[in-house]
Amino acid sequence: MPNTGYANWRFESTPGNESNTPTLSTKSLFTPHIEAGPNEGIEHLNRDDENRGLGEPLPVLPETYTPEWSLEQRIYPDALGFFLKLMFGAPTTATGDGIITDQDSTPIPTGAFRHRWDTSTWSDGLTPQTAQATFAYADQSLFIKHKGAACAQMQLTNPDTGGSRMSLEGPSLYGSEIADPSLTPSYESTSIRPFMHGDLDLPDWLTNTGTTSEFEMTFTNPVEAIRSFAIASLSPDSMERGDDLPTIAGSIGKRNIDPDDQAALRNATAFAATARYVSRSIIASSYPYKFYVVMSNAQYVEGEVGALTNSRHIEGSFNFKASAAGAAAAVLELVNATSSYG
Amino acid sequence: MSESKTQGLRLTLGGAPDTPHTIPGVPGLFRPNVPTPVGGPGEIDAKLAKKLHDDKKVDLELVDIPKGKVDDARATAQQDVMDARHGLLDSRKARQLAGREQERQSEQAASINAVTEGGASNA
Repeated sequence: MPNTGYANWRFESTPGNESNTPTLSTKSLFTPHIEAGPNEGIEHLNRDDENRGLGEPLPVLPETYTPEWSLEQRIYPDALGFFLKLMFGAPTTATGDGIITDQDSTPIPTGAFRHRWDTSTWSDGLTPQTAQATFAYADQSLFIKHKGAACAQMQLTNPDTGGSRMSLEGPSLYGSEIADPSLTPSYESTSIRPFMHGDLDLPDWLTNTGTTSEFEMTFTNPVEAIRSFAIASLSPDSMERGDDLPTIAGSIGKRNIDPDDQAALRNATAFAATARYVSRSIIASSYPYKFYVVMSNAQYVEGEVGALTNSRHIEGSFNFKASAAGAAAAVLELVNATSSYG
Repeated sequence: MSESKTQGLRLTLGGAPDTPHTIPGVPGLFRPNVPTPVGGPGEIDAKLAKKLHDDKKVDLELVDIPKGKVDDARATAQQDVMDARHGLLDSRKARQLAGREQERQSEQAASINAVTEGGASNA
């Protein structure tokens, strides 16, 4: 008997806290996750330090809740766009018409939609995008709703097998147990494939770089759930962007070290870099699902070469980040069948 | 009484892409922009379709399919089933099944088999 639980996500018009009721988006996503879950961050008040002439622990009291959430799933194109909006705000969406093009200058046909995030504008304003999430442990009759859920980090990994994965996490403002919302989940057909290791290539990277063995990316979006005394609540009431800058970064493993990579690390050499996923699933008119991360000014920021041993291959690993030098640090472009993330 | 018209179930999940979707416990695949015909051979019967339409918890709506679009709708529905079958075969071959996804695959297989084995009248 399959598990009937589900997780449902909808964007909020304003971060939801214990007392407000934000408008929820039309867009409703049931995630085909591998793992998803809330963490209520419950910390009770411990009063054992009080001088009451008692030699026994005192009852605790509810004091603070600091909810968080996490989710891991394969990189399905519709869900990827949802969580990219949750991290970086609404994309610029264009409808395929056979004339607009993708990052490869390939025309995008009718039925496909191009969603683009440009890092030069993504952190405008103090308030990040948030969502309401419902975690339904239906078989156990436990339903937890999170309001004001922001996404602080997305990690994209590409194992050889098992499909490329995205791991997400972030703080929420308010979590609570609720009555069964009686939602009925719907999921895209499994004929829509997730992006996989074999769909990924790096058409642009440092010239004469060594042979690549691994590649992963981490997007960060610093956010803070704060208690501002705006409402009386044991939970945070306001979600704000943090002081740290959002980043597009990652790591690249080399099967064999190369002097060009080492020199680029030492000299902070900037290079144009593109990571490109092209699915084997078609959207329309032979045009496949695609996802690009285009970095105008990537640099290695950390790295190491393997120990010198009696081996034909000596591996290396480098961390990189996208930086802005006269152009947006990165453009994220997703072409899928979702007309809007509104 | 009007001529017999063809009706279909349309997915009403907010913001869903125009791709086939499954609903656990409901046979078949459904799209937001192309209704899945009901009432014909191998299709959900009209009674179940009405029940699904009336169930506010299920994101399906029973709509009339214009006469000139019925054949296209049926072809789309059949192709979606075939594509889903290939998706299942490919994913099993690639050993992508894990945990909840395996259960979802099983649910989808049940939906597809229910539709293709002479139609379904039970959700």
